[in-house]
Amino acid sequence: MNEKEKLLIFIDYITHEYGGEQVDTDDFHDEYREIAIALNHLSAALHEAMSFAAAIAAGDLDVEAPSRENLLCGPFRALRSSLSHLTWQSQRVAAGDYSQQVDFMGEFSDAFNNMIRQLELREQQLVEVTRQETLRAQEMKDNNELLMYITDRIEDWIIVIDSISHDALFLNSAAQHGIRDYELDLDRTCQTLYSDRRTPHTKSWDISLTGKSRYDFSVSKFQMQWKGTSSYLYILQDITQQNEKIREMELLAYRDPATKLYNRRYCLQLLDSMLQCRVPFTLCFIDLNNLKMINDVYGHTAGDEYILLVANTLTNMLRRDDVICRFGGDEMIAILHYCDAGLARKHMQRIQDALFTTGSEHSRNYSISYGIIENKNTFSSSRALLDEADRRMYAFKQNFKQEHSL
Amino acid sequence: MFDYTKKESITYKFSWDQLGDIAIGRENLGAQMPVTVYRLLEYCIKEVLEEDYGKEQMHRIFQKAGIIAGRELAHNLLDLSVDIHTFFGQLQDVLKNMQVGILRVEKIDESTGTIYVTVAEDLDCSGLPVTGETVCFYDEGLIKGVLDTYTNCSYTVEEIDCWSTGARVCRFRANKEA
Repeated sequence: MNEKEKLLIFIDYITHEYGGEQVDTDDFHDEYREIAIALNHLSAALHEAMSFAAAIAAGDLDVEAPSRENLLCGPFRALRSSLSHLTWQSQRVAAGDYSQQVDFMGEFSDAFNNMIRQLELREQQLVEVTRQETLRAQEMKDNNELLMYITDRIEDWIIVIDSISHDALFLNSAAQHGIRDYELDLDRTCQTLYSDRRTPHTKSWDISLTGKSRYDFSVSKFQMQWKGTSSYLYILQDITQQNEKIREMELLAYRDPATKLYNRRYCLQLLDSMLQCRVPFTLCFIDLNNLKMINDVYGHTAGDEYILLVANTLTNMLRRDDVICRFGGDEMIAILHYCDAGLARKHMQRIQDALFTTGSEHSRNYSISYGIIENKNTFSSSRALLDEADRRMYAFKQNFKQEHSL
Repeated sequence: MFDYTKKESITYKFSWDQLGDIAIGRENLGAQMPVTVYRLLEYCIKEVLEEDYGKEQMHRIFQKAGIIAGRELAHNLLDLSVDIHTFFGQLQDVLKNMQVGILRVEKIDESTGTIYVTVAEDLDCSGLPVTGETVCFYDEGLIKGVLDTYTNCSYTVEEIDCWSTGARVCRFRANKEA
């Protein structure tokens, strides 16, 4: 192989494998030796440049640059500088410096700068959203504080119950004091509230809770999230006193103040209602014998004692469900449920016997006359029913007088 | 009577206002001029300085002039109260607007104080014939003047790549002096 062929092979090696190796210049003579020396320089410089480029391509921007004499490395130095600068710019962008702009890398510059603009825009949007959310959170906090302030100052009880565990999550001040003062058991109260749901859509109803006494409440229910927990909020309005007043008013409206028996108004309303609904019952029309005589001879106090005695005897000897009314001055009516006329008559006779044996100084004068009607839906009005009962009572009285020579 | 003695005793000291009011003075031609004119001035002075004082002194004089320019530029055109990254951002803008070159930060090592920057399309050297020697002594000084003023520390600035050494950008390394 001659020197020219050797140099051509070396050039081919440099071209395809980016140099690195050297030829022995002693193998060449004259002008070929000069070419060999130059090619050795080229091989070294190209190898150095390509190694430098490969390191940059692999991301090693801190790689030591070849000497300045290697001019082949010039563009790679510029590239390394650009990439280093881009790295710094990216770090600045990551730190929130959106003023960074790339203006030296063509299409990449446009993409990078657009990315910065988008990032800045999104950050501005996020900042705005954060600002609004912060404001909203503050508003909610303020509203919540206001709500808690109001909640703790209203008289109604507010109880929040976990919808799964049924534990109490919150009680306002009124509920805390009420449960303590009424001696209610909190767990039982929560259980009562939660289980007394009526229908799923019922949002308001009345309940009674028993502590040291029995207390009535009007309950309203709301579903809500309490600090992230699915819950029910119950508002309890204490209607115990209100119900008490209603009962008092009912007493005044429907009770006879002297005997505490139902009065005439109640009696007539009840009879009309029962007749209308065709409820079976037996009516006893009762008249107190000798009341006028006792009032005249022994005074009205004795007369009042007589009336009270009969009222109490009827109350004590009839069943709890039977209704006893004072219908007039010396007239009383007993409405007996699930009781036929025969049984009613036995009840009346027992009462008659009891009156005779009260032991009172006037007991010899105590007796009743009564008319009994078993309602079999033959009366269309209470008036007709009472007229017939009165007639039968009167007949009873006549017989009674004859029998007892009154 | 004019005092010649006093006049002769005045020592020249550069300050920013001595740049004059260019808007008034160059009403028609404006503030811009060709790079050629700048380089004509620079390299003619360079020849004179090198011829009269040698290469080393020429190098030192250009760098010293750059330090004064950097100090005045920092005091008059830059906000010295911002963080270092923001500071370089505004220096980049100033140098670009003044068409000195495109400054790019490669690395700022805040733990050691070492900084690498490049200047592309540099006013002093971009496009010069490759001689294998760096030529941006004035830029070295300018960067040092700016950094010294901003940090209140002393920096050594060295140009490690230059257009005239075959690189496409001028690359400078600034080390904080102990």
